[in-house]
Amino acid sequence: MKRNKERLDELESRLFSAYRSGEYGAANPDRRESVMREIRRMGAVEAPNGAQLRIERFAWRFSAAACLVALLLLAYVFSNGFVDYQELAMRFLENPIEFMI
Amino acid sequence: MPRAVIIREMRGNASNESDGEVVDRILGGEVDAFEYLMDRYGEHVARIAGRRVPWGDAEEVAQDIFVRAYMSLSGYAGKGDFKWWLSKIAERACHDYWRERYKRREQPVSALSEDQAKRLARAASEQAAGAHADGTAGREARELLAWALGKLSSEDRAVLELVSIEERPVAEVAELLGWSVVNVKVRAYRSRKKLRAILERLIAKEGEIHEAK
Repeated sequence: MKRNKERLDELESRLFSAYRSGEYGAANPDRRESVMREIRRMGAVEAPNGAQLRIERFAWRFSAAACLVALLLLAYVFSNGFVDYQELAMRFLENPIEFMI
Repeated sequence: MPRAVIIREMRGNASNESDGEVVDRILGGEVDAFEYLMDRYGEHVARIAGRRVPWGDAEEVAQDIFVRAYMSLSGYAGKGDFKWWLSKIAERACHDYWRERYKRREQPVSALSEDQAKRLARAASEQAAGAHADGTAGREARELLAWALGKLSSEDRAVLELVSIEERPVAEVAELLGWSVVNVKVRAYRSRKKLRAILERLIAKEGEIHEAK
Protein backbone atom coordinates (compact mmCIF):
# COMPACT_ATOMS: atom_id res chain seq x y z
CA MET A 1 0.00 0.00 0.00
CA LYS A 2 1.27 3.42 -0.90
CA ARG A 3 2.22 5.67 1.89
CA ASN A 4 -0.34 8.36 2.67
CA LYS A 5 1.96 11.23 1.72
CA GLU A 6 2.62 9.82 -1.73
CA ARG A 7 -1.09 9.24 -2.25
CA LEU A 8 -1.78 12.77 -1.11
CA ASP A 9 0.82 14.25 -3.47
CA GLU A 10 -0.59 12.30 -6.37
CA LEU A 11 -4.16 13.19 -5.56
CA GLU A 12 -3.28 16.86 -5.23
CA SER A 13 -1.41 17.01 -8.51
CA ARG A 14 -4.23 15.14 -10.25
CA LEU A 15 -6.81 17.58 -8.92
CA PHE A 16 -4.72 20.59 -9.92
CA SER A 17 -4.11 19.30 -13.44
CA ALA A 18 -7.83 18.52 -13.84
CA TYR A 19 -8.59 22.10 -12.83
CA ARG A 20 -6.09 23.46 -15.36
CA SER A 21 -7.34 21.28 -18.20
CA GLY A 22 -11.02 22.10 -17.65
CA GLU A 23 -12.93 24.16 -20.19
CA TYR A 24 -14.62 27.08 -18.59
CA GLY A 25 -17.52 29.19 -19.76
CA ALA A 26 -18.24 31.01 -22.96
CA ALA A 27 -19.70 34.48 -23.33
CA ASN A 28 -23.48 34.43 -23.55
CA PRO A 29 -24.99 36.96 -26.02
CA ASP A 30 -28.19 37.20 -23.95
CA ARG A 31 -26.16 38.27 -20.96
CA ARG A 32 -24.44 40.91 -23.09
CA GLU A 33 -27.80 42.41 -23.92
CA SER A 34 -28.69 42.35 -20.27
CA VAL A 35 -25.48 44.21 -19.33
CA MET A 36 -26.10 46.80 -22.04
CA ARG A 37 -29.66 47.32 -20.79
CA GLU A 38 -28.35 47.84 -17.29
CA ILE A 39 -25.65 50.31 -18.23
CA ARG A 40 -28.03 52.26 -20.47
CA ARG A 41 -30.36 52.49 -17.52
CA MET A 42 -27.47 53.77 -15.41
CA GLY A 43 -26.64 56.40 -18.01
CA ALA A 44 -23.32 57.86 -19.05
CA VAL A 45 -20.46 57.30 -16.67
CA GLU A 46 -18.84 60.42 -15.30
CA ALA A 47 -15.57 61.27 -16.98
CA PRO A 48 -12.71 62.11 -14.62
CA ASN A 49 -12.49 65.78 -13.77
CA GLY A 50 -10.10 67.37 -16.29
CA ALA A 51 -8.68 69.99 -13.89
CA GLN A 52 -8.05 67.39 -11.21
CA LEU A 53 -6.31 65.14 -13.72
CA ARG A 54 -4.09 68.00 -14.91
CA ILE A 55 -3.12 68.87 -11.33
CA GLU A 56 -2.33 65.21 -10.62
CA ARG A 57 -0.20 64.90 -13.74
CA PHE A 58 1.57 68.16 -12.91
CA ALA A 59 2.31 66.99 -9.37
CA TRP A 60 3.55 63.60 -10.55
CA ARG A 61 5.92 65.29 -12.98
CA PHE A 62 7.80 66.72 -10.01
CA SER A 63 7.67 63.60 -7.88
CA ALA A 64 11.14 62.41 -8.87
CA ALA A 65 12.67 65.80 -8.18
CA ALA A 66 10.83 66.00 -4.82
CA CYS A 67 12.17 62.59 -3.81
CA LEU A 68 15.67 63.65 -4.77
CA VAL A 69 15.42 66.83 -2.67
CA ALA A 70 14.09 64.81 0.28
CA LEU A 71 17.02 62.39 0.01
CA LEU A 72 19.54 65.25 -0.19
CA LEU A 73 18.00 66.89 2.88
CA LEU A 74 18.12 63.60 4.73
CA ALA A 75 21.78 63.15 3.80
CA TYR A 76 22.51 66.74 4.91
CA VAL A 77 20.78 66.22 8.26
CA PHE A 78 22.61 62.97 8.87
CA SER A 79 26.00 64.39 7.92
CA ASN A 80 25.57 67.51 10.10
CA GLY A 81 23.73 65.76 12.87
CA PHE A 82 20.78 66.83 14.96
CA VAL A 83 23.07 68.17 17.69
CA ASP A 84 22.72 71.89 16.79
CA TYR A 85 18.95 71.79 17.05
CA GLN A 86 19.08 69.79 20.23
CA GLU A 87 21.47 72.27 21.85
CA LEU A 88 19.33 75.16 20.67
CA ALA A 89 16.29 73.62 22.31
CA MET A 90 18.22 72.98 25.54
CA ARG A 91 19.43 76.60 25.75
CA PHE A 92 15.90 77.82 25.15
CA LEU A 93 14.49 75.62 27.89
CA GLU A 94 17.23 76.60 30.36
CA ASN A 95 16.70 80.32 30.04
CA PRO A 96 14.01 81.39 27.62
CA ILE A 97 14.19 85.13 28.36
CA GLU A 98 17.94 85.42 27.79
CA PHE A 99 17.64 83.23 24.75
CA MET A 100 15.02 85.49 23.20
CA ILE A 101 17.12 88.63 23.83
CA MET B 1 -31.53 54.76 -38.55
CA PRO B 2 -32.25 51.56 -36.53
CA ARG B 3 -30.19 51.17 -33.36
CA ALA B 4 -28.76 47.81 -34.51
CA VAL B 5 -27.31 49.50 -37.61
CA ILE B 6 -25.86 52.33 -35.54
CA ILE B 7 -24.24 49.79 -33.19
CA ARG B 8 -22.87 47.79 -36.14
CA GLU B 9 -21.34 50.94 -37.61
CA MET B 10 -19.95 51.86 -34.25
CA ARG B 11 -18.39 48.43 -33.86
CA GLY B 12 -16.88 48.78 -37.31
CA ASN B 13 -15.21 52.03 -36.23
CA ALA B 14 -14.18 50.57 -32.92
CA SER B 15 -12.40 47.58 -34.48
CA ASN B 16 -9.55 49.91 -35.46
CA GLU B 17 -9.47 51.73 -32.19
CA SER B 18 -7.38 50.98 -29.16
CA ASP B 19 -9.12 50.11 -25.89
CA GLY B 20 -8.18 53.52 -24.52
CA GLU B 21 -9.87 55.27 -27.43
CA VAL B 22 -13.04 53.23 -26.99
CA VAL B 23 -13.02 54.05 -23.28
CA ASP B 24 -12.65 57.75 -24.11
CA ARG B 25 -15.71 57.52 -26.35
CA ILE B 26 -17.72 55.85 -23.60
CA LEU B 27 -16.62 58.50 -21.12
CA GLY B 28 -17.61 61.06 -23.72
CA GLY B 29 -21.18 59.79 -23.49
CA GLU B 30 -21.29 57.01 -26.15
CA VAL B 31 -22.57 54.35 -23.78
CA ASP B 32 -23.20 51.86 -26.62
CA ALA B 33 -19.48 51.72 -27.41
CA PHE B 34 -19.15 49.59 -24.28
CA GLU B 35 -20.63 46.73 -26.26
CA TYR B 36 -17.45 46.66 -28.30
CA LEU B 37 -15.37 46.08 -25.17
CA MET B 38 -17.76 43.28 -24.23
CA ASP B 39 -17.26 41.72 -27.66
CA ARG B 40 -13.52 41.92 -27.28
CA TYR B 41 -13.24 40.68 -23.72
CA GLY B 42 -16.43 38.65 -23.23
CA GLU B 43 -14.64 35.32 -23.58
CA HIS B 44 -11.81 36.39 -21.29
CA VAL B 45 -14.22 37.43 -18.53
CA ALA B 46 -16.38 34.31 -19.03
CA ARG B 47 -13.29 32.12 -18.62
CA ILE B 48 -12.27 33.82 -15.36
CA ALA B 49 -15.80 33.61 -13.94
CA GLY B 50 -16.16 30.01 -15.18
CA ARG B 51 -13.01 28.96 -13.36
CA ARG B 52 -13.69 30.76 -10.12
CA VAL B 53 -17.39 30.23 -9.46
CA PRO B 54 -19.85 27.34 -9.98
CA TRP B 55 -21.01 27.21 -13.57
CA GLY B 56 -24.62 27.96 -12.60
CA ASP B 57 -23.56 31.37 -11.30
CA ALA B 58 -20.71 32.10 -13.71
CA GLU B 59 -22.83 34.01 -16.22
CA GLU B 60 -24.31 36.21 -13.57
CA VAL B 61 -20.87 36.95 -12.13
CA ALA B 62 -19.55 37.72 -15.64
CA GLN B 63 -22.41 40.17 -16.07
CA ASP B 64 -21.61 41.75 -12.72
CA ILE B 65 -17.95 42.09 -13.75
CA PHE B 66 -18.88 44.10 -16.84
CA VAL B 67 -21.25 46.33 -14.88
CA ARG B 68 -18.52 46.95 -12.31
CA ALA B 69 -16.04 47.68 -15.07
CA TYR B 70 -18.44 50.18 -16.61
CA MET B 71 -18.96 51.93 -13.29
CA SER B 72 -15.18 52.13 -12.73
CA LEU B 73 -14.26 53.23 -16.25
CA SER B 74 -13.30 56.71 -15.12
CA GLY B 75 -10.65 55.06 -12.94
CA TYR B 76 -9.08 53.38 -15.96
CA ALA B 77 -8.42 56.62 -17.84
CA GLY B 78 -6.19 54.96 -20.42
CA LYS B 79 -3.68 53.76 -17.83
CA GLY B 80 -2.01 50.50 -18.88
CA ASP B 81 -3.43 47.36 -20.39
CA PHE B 82 -7.24 47.29 -20.39
CA LYS B 83 -7.35 43.48 -20.29
CA TRP B 84 -5.22 43.43 -17.15
CA TRP B 85 -7.34 46.18 -15.58
CA LEU B 86 -10.48 44.16 -16.36
CA SER B 87 -8.87 40.98 -14.99
CA LYS B 88 -8.33 42.70 -11.65
CA ILE B 89 -11.99 43.67 -11.51
CA ALA B 90 -12.97 40.11 -12.47
CA GLU B 91 -10.79 38.43 -9.83
CA ARG B 92 -12.06 40.75 -7.12
CA ALA B 93 -15.68 40.25 -8.20
CA CYS B 94 -15.22 36.46 -7.94
CA HIS B 95 -13.62 36.87 -4.54
CA ASP B 96 -16.59 39.01 -3.44
CA TYR B 97 -18.95 36.35 -4.76
CA TRP B 98 -17.41 33.73 -2.45
CA ARG B 99 -17.25 36.12 0.47
CA GLU B 100 -20.98 36.80 0.12
CA ARG B 101 -21.78 33.16 -0.32
CA TYR B 102 -19.80 32.08 2.74
CA LYS B 103 -21.43 34.86 4.73
CA ARG B 104 -24.92 33.70 3.81
CA ARG B 105 -24.24 29.97 4.11
CA GLU B 106 -27.76 29.37 2.79
CA GLN B 107 -26.76 26.70 0.35
CA PRO B 108 -23.84 24.28 0.51
CA VAL B 109 -20.78 25.47 -1.39
CA SER B 110 -20.46 22.09 -3.11
CA ALA B 111 -23.20 19.71 -4.21
CA LEU B 112 -21.02 16.76 -3.15
CA SER B 113 -21.66 14.93 0.10
CA GLU B 114 -18.79 13.76 2.30
CA ASP B 115 -19.31 10.17 1.15
CA GLN B 116 -19.26 11.12 -2.51
CA ALA B 117 -16.09 13.14 -1.90
CA LYS B 118 -14.46 10.07 -0.31
CA ARG B 119 -15.44 7.92 -3.25
CA LEU B 120 -14.06 10.46 -5.72
CA ALA B 121 -10.85 10.79 -3.72
CA ARG B 122 -10.39 7.04 -3.91
CA ALA B 123 -11.13 6.97 -7.62
CA ALA B 124 -8.78 9.88 -8.33
CA SER B 125 -5.91 8.48 -6.27
CA GLU B 126 -6.25 5.03 -7.86
CA GLN B 127 -6.00 6.27 -11.43
CA ALA B 128 -2.85 5.24 -13.19
CA ALA B 129 -0.10 7.77 -12.74
CA GLY B 130 0.14 10.11 -15.72
CA ALA B 131 -3.45 9.45 -16.74
CA HIS B 132 -5.07 12.40 -18.48
CA ALA B 133 -7.54 14.30 -16.38
CA ASP B 134 -10.17 14.54 -19.08
CA GLY B 135 -13.68 13.13 -19.58
CA THR B 136 -15.50 11.78 -16.54
CA ALA B 137 -12.34 11.42 -14.48
CA GLY B 138 -11.45 15.07 -15.09
CA ARG B 139 -14.94 16.22 -14.21
CA GLU B 140 -14.97 14.18 -11.03
CA ALA B 141 -11.56 15.50 -10.04
CA ARG B 142 -12.80 19.06 -10.56
CA GLU B 143 -15.88 18.31 -8.44
CA LEU B 144 -13.70 16.93 -5.68
CA LEU B 145 -11.42 19.96 -5.80
CA ALA B 146 -14.45 22.28 -5.68
CA TRP B 147 -15.69 20.36 -2.64
CA ALA B 148 -12.32 20.72 -0.89
CA LEU B 149 -12.02 24.41 -1.84
CA GLY B 150 -15.47 24.92 -0.36
CA LYS B 151 -14.00 24.08 3.03
CA LEU B 152 -11.58 27.03 2.83
CA SER B 153 -12.25 30.70 3.43
CA SER B 154 -12.85 32.93 0.40
CA GLU B 155 -9.38 34.49 0.80
CA ASP B 156 -7.64 31.12 1.03
CA ARG B 157 -9.59 29.89 -1.92
CA ALA B 158 -8.69 32.88 -4.11
CA VAL B 159 -4.99 32.75 -3.36
CA LEU B 160 -4.78 28.96 -3.66
CA GLU B 161 -6.40 28.97 -7.09
CA LEU B 162 -4.15 31.71 -8.41
CA VAL B 163 -0.81 30.78 -6.84
CA SER B 164 -0.80 27.02 -6.29
CA ILE B 165 -3.15 25.78 -8.99
CA GLU B 166 -2.64 28.27 -11.82
CA GLU B 167 0.98 28.85 -10.76
CA ARG B 168 0.91 32.58 -11.31
CA PRO B 169 3.74 34.75 -9.97
CA VAL B 170 3.14 36.04 -6.45
CA ALA B 171 3.62 39.68 -7.48
CA GLU B 172 0.97 39.31 -10.18
CA VAL B 173 -1.50 37.74 -7.74
CA ALA B 174 -0.81 40.50 -5.22
CA GLU B 175 -1.74 43.09 -7.83
CA LEU B 176 -4.78 41.16 -9.00
CA LEU B 177 -6.21 40.82 -5.52
CA GLY B 178 -4.94 44.15 -4.21
CA TRP B 179 -2.99 42.49 -1.39
CA SER B 180 0.65 42.85 -0.32
CA VAL B 181 3.20 40.37 -1.69
CA VAL B 182 3.97 39.14 1.83
CA ASN B 183 0.28 38.55 2.53
CA VAL B 184 -0.08 36.54 -0.68
CA LYS B 185 2.98 34.41 0.13
CA VAL B 186 1.84 33.66 3.68
CA ARG B 187 -1.74 32.94 2.66
CA ALA B 188 -0.66 30.76 -0.26
CA TYR B 189 1.46 28.64 2.05
CA ARG B 190 -1.24 28.33 4.71
CA SER B 191 -4.08 27.65 2.29
CA ARG B 192 -2.13 24.90 0.56
CA LYS B 193 -1.45 23.32 3.91
CA LYS B 194 -5.15 23.49 4.78
CA LEU B 195 -6.15 21.92 1.47
CA ARG B 196 -3.69 19.10 1.98
CA ALA B 197 -5.03 18.52 5.50
CA ILE B 198 -8.59 18.27 4.09
CA LEU B 199 -7.52 15.79 1.41
CA GLU B 200 -5.42 13.85 3.89
CA ARG B 201 -8.39 13.42 6.24
CA LEU B 202 -10.46 12.29 3.30
CA ILE B 203 -7.91 9.68 2.25
CA ALA B 204 -7.47 8.45 5.83
CA LYS B 205 -11.24 8.07 6.39
CA GLU B 206 -11.69 6.41 3.05
CA GLY B 207 -8.81 4.03 3.87
CA GLU B 208 -10.44 3.06 7.16
CA ILE B 209 -13.73 2.26 5.42
CA HIS B 210 -11.93 0.27 2.74
CA GLU B 211 -9.98 -1.78 5.31
CA ALA B 212 -13.13 -2.45 7.38
CA LYS B 213 -14.75 -3.97 4.30
